[in-house]
Amino acid sequence: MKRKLQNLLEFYKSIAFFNFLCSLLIAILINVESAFYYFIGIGFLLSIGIYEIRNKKNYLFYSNNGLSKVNLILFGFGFNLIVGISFLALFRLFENV
Amino acid sequence: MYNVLEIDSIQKTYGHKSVLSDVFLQCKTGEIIGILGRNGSGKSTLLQIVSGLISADFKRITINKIVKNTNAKICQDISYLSQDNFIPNQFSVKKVIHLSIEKNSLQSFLEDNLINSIIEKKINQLSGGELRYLEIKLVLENDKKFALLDEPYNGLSPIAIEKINQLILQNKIKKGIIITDHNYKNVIEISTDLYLMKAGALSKIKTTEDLVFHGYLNSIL
Repeated sequence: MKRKLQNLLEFYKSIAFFNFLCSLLIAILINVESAFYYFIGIGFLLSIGIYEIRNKKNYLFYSNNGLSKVNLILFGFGFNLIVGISFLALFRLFENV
Repeated sequence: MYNVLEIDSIQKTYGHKSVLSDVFLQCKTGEIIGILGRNGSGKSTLLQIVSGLISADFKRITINKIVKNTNAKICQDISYLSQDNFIPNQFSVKKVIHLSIEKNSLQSFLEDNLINSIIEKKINQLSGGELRYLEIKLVLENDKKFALLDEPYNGLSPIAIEKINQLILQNKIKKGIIITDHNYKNVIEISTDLYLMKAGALSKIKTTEDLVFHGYLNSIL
């Protein structure tokens, strides 16, 4: 179970960097709320799309470790949502201080 | 534990061309099923369908009589060595091993000179042979019940092939293995059962004369 979770987090790390970068840019250029919606929506889908094009064969690595593509994407979406909400909540907290 | 993989009624067509027609194959723990066949005969397609990488027009895969109809279920019990390298390039060898091998099998996995010599390296620093060896060892020594090996000998030196054969034979005690490769001498040597894929159908090979009879070889080895 622990090994599977580590695999899921590694997959998330490999798709998250590009999404983080673009969201940061949107937060600076537009506003934090837009960045949040981009991060949990289009940004996530774009990251999966890029992974699909550049690293498609790597799905087999995770499959051999017991995780299907659907498992990876569902976890990625859920975890990304939690990360996005956490960042937004933190921002709101600091904004009000 | 003793496990039985049954692959039944596999059918696959590309356009109007039938690639696999009603393939049946059974593999049990302790067995090494060798599949030979010419280029384009459907060997790799069969393994990709069984591993869930590509879809089939029809397939029925069971393990110990339990139907495995989704990729999520298949990947719990079957691992697949593809012809292409599949380990993410940015990972280190150490990380790959920790992500793939159960804690209680780690020690025996690491009792290997070749693995020890590359353990501090990143995947993109490995030679083709080192990477292939690592991939094969991961697929054979993980906790899955069955391993499908698609051209494991491709690009390997004779010494490396010998090591791979030892690995396969060591691991057949705990899992069922299906292997396909053009290096037919090695496939014949290690297989417990041999099949020939021809025009999308499997024929059981009992003697090497059968390979000549079916037109796979011109003469006996």
